[in-house]
Amino acid sequence: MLAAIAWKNVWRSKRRSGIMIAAIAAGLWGGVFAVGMFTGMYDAMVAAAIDRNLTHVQVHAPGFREERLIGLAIPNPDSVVAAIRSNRGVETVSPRTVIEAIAASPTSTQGVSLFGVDPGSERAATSVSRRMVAGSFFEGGERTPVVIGRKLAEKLGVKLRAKLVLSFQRPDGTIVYGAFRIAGLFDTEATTFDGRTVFVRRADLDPLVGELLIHEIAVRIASNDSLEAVAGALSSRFPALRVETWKDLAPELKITAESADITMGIFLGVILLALLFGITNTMLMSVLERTREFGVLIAIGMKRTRVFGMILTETLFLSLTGAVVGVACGSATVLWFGTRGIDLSFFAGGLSLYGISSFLYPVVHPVMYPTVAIMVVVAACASAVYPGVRAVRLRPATAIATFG
Amino acid sequence: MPNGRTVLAMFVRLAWRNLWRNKKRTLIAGGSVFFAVFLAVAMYSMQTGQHDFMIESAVGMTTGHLQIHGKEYWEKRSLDQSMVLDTALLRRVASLPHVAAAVPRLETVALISRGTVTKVCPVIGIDPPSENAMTGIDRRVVRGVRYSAGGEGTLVAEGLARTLGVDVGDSIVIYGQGYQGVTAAQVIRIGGILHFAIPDLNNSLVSLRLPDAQDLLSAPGRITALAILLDSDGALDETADAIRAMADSELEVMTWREMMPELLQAIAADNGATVIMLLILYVVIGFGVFGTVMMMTAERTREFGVSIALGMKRRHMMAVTVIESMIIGMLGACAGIITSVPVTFYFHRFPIRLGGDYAKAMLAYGLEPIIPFSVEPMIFIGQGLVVLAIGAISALYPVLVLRRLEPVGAMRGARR
Repeated sequence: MLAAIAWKNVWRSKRRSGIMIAAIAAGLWGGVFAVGMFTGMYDAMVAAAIDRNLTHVQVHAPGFREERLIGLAIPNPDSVVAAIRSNRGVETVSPRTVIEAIAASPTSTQGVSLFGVDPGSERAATSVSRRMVAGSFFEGGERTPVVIGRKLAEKLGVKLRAKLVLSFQRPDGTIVYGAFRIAGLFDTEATTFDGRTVFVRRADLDPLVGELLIHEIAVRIASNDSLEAVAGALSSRFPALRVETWKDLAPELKITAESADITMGIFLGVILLALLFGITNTMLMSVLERTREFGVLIAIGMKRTRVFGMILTETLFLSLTGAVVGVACGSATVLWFGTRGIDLSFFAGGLSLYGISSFLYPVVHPVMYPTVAIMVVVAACASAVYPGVRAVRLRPATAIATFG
Repeated sequence: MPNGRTVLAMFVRLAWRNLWRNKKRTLIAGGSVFFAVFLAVAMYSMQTGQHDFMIESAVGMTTGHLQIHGKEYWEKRSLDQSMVLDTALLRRVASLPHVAAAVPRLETVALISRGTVTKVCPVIGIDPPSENAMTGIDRRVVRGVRYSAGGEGTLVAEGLARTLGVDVGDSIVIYGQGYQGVTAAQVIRIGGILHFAIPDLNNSLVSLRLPDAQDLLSAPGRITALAILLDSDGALDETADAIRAMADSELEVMTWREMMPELLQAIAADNGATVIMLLILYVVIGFGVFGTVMMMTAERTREFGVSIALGMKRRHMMAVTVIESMIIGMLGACAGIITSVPVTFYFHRFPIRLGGDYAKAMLAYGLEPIIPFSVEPMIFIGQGLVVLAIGAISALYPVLVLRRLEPVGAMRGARR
């Protein structure tokens, strides 16, 4: 009964209801879009880091990540790699020899991280091979090829096909030198990575090391959702090794994620506050406008609690309608920009200067829609309380005598 | 016929009286503007404050705001591009108005070994008093003697010491290439252990006194960089120009913007996101303000009808409502700015402190887990103006209604 009256009231004044619905829809749209932006930004950052070099899961010998000593290799690497490959959910596996080395050009010397890889597996596991700006990722027929970051090439003052001498300490303590020729330059968006990363074929590196040493097994899984499951399975299978996910490997990504969460929370709070105030204002105006109507209702015997209930129900209907419209608009906007991207350089000069991808692709995880919608509906109802109280406190005689 | 000035004065008086005739309505409308300005200012102040804080922490921990290098040093990082430490220049730079510290450094990469263990490490020669003023290296000494307490020796990062299996009092071998290719090799006694939050540094850094480093690398009197810390990032370009003017052309002056493009990118991307968030906020605020204006207009339809029926020109009525809106907007915006000033200043002085894992992670990186607010005057003025513009657009609504108002219907209370 009350609901029927409230529903009729909502559509009695189309303009007033329209503006309320629009305000709520706008708030919800804003909330959904903001969530989409933050999620998209973070997802892109994580995906870039995972694709670049991190991969989803890495396996090391204990202590290697801290000390990075050449002797801390994974025992029986072949059987470990084979066992990881056969694990469910694992997409590709790239075993790597990782050595802290010195790269010397005729003009300069730089400390570098030397990765000895199997080009085929590495190409499947990471995106470096797709980020080549000169030469190729071990596709040419050169002897002893080396692929380095463009940034490192600049530091060393070398170009494609130049000679590069790599030196490092062997497990027995002797220093070994190897001459390589630059076969490719890559440019990812991470300057630090580009400035200190060197790839060679393991086939060329193993003779220098003197034995087969695998320090790192990079594992790419089919879906990020099975991350913990795969990592858990691997670590129970190899208790003597350290199995870590990208979350453990790159704590700074986690920090960024949490900072994005905090900013998003504050922003949603601000939007809700703005919405709360906007709705309170509009409802209050609407109650003032309907003074005579409420006066009459109370005079003919409608209980004040029911009047209050009616106003709350009206707001509930308004906000639910607004929520539906808002979620529809919000998801449409997120879908639209999610495929096309938002060019952030349009809003912030200087971003495109460095040739990084300045496009932001909003994404909303489905669970966020009901969360934001419920928040908005609750906020809307909360903001109807004060106007409702005002209506209930009316004195019927004076109210009926009022204009309006 | 009264002249234009008195007509305007009359309109203003009329508008003023209209506003106070229905105080409640005016307060509600002014309140919506007030709240909008307050929220927009708070939001923007927080974002700007966070960016300033990011710059300040990153710059203070690493490069400084500005650096003077020998030509091409930054690209090649070789000692051959080092420069002579010109004490006259150092003094003149240090006496520039916004310069908080000028820090000479001699930096290279060398092999550090102990027994059969060898690692490639950055070796940096520093001037302890000025380095302390900028990066506070003494605070990072966890064992051994601090420079300020008369420490003379070499400081080695914790992770590196663990890898080499050494501690205070042990000796290590530094082996590398000095200035102009001269071999640099020396056995050095460790005077202290440094702790860094950033794993890369904690696993590798070796720090020496500047004269010792110059000796080791056969580079007497030379440095690779003079890092300059400013008291505010706002003085960056001006100070860079002043230094360029005094340094000779063989040197290059770089700002952190050139040295840390990643930081600049991060901030630019974040700024882009901030602009979009503000736009979203404006849309929400706009609906709030517009809704209020619309309700106000609907409520006054009868009054408008009566005024026009009595012979008031529509133009004049429109002018009065526009003046009313302007007064409400100005009052609301001023109140919003006045209220937000103490709030932002409070959070500028006493930033929001974060808790939990996030705070721990930030602390581990040597960052304070806080969200400071910025009190840049442009924030207040800019956001106030934007909300006023939103108000001005909303104020067009009663004008449009008045243009098409049917006095008879309006008086009867008919609602369109």
